[in-house]
Amino acid sequence: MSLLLLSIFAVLLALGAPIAVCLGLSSAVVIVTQGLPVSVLAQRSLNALDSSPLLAVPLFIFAASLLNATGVTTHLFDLVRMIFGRIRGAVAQVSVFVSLIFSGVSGAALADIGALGAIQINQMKAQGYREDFAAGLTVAAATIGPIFPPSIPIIIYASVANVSAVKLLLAGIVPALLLTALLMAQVAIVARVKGLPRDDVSAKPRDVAKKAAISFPALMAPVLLIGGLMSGYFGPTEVAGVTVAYAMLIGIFIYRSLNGRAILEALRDTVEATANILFVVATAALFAWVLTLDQVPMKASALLLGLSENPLVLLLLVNVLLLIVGMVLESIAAILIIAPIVAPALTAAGVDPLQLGIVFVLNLMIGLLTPPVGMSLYMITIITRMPISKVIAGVMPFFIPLLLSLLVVSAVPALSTWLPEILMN
Amino acid sequence: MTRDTPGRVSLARLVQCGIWLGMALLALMAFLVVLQVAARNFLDLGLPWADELARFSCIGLVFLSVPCLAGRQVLVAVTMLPDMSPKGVRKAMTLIADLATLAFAALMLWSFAEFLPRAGKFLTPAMQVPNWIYYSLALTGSLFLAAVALTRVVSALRGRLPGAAYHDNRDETGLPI
Repeated sequence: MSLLLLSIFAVLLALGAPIAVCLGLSSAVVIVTQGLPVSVLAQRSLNALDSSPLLAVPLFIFAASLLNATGVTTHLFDLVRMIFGRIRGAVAQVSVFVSLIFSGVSGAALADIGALGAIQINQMKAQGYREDFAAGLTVAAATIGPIFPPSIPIIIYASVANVSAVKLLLAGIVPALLLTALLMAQVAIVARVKGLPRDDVSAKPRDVAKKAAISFPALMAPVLLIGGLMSGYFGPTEVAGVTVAYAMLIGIFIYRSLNGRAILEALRDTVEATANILFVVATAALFAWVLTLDQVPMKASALLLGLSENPLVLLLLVNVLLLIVGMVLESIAAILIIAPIVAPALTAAGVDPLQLGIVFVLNLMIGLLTPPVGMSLYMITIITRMPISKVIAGVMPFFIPLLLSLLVVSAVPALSTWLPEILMN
Repeated sequence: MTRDTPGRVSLARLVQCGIWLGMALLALMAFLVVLQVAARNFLDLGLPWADELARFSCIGLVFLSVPCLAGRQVLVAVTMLPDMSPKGVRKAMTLIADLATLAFAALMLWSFAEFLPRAGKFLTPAMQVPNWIYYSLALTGSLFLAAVALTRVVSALRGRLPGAAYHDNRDETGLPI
């Protein structure tokens, strides 16, 4: 049954059918040919969408679109340029650091690329950086977004794996900072070797203070959101709604750049992005149901535990599995399909659920940079009009810090568990 | 939208309305989530109906918007192989993808026909509306998805551009993901 499912899925995927259709039709064919009730198709896909945690998906995308429309991303970029301007390879370092700041209000890597990609790449190109380096760094830095709270994949993983979403969001902070530091270290090395330029932007204290004042409302957003989550004023899904309200308020009353037309544009972009993502979620639920029916999760658990009972070895095996899965499955679909398969086995073997969640999401975000289903690669090719092969060449060196951070997060559970333990207990 | 038959143009406009309705549902969803936060923190009041209505909006948003995206061929897909193939092969692959979409939508409609007569009469827990109303937007969206996929298949078989009626200038400069 699973073989038939995977074969149809693979053929349709290769032929360029929409991923949601590949997942849905392969599941539907199995359901019909095995004489299972056809009503399951509608029932399972509707149940998958009828979920409160999933409301975070459209709301975070909407918040990121609104903030982008306010022009706050440009202010943030300018501010960080003033701070880092004097170091070698400044604009590249700024790109990484701005990605970290913006990830405090955005919940998805693709939203980060959409909001920051053009600014980052244009600034780097203007200072003589190679286009493939600029594109590669931009997509690599966008992986920080879904690790740092708020995060759509983390909220979805938490709901699938029955882990506290608030704790899991907090668990992502230190790994996100580690990833940022490693990316910046890589940029520093490249800057020294290739002689990347320092920035020529003015950094007079008065200019910095002025820019900081303009950027302050945006810089406060992550503080407000994480504070609200920890204090219990709002839950992980509600934080997305509050982010939308906050973005609207600062866009209309503080930046005064958010008009009716911009809001409509943001609404439309969000609707189209959400429909694309959640259609995959609906059909991935069907796919996962068929796999469960064929006892794939149980078989996979037995196989994994048969290989080793050492949590670290199991985590490394899961890393390899997820890196491969990330190449062929869209990240949210992968969470819905794979998390129920591996999470029980690994937690039973003693892997901390919070650490597993972060390792899981980090892996799949790296998968956004690997073809054939490398959504970040596609996104950046559309923004830059570069051939995908050039983007892949540009991103290759950044796999070193990405995989290194994955290895460290896998080997050191405290990186993920320390902060939630301190803040929530 | 002027390069196709009136029927196809009308269908394209109709599914475009799905996007506008999706935008209204998104705005409603955002309002309801913020309302729940405000009601709980300021009035100590839980609003289960607001959560249910927000979920209804989310389901509707997805199913009503997908037909338009399918028409424009901007649903997320892995296009490496089609992109590398000669034009004729690429056209054939697009036709197969549209046939797959049509088959999936048809199976979904069959599934709704089996599912809703049994489950449709039960009431939702919070709003107390029958399930057939709660799932009506999903059913409508599936119907339109089948219609869009069918028109794309027919257009391709007649040697027309399958997505001509759904063309959106924004698709040339950005992908809605």
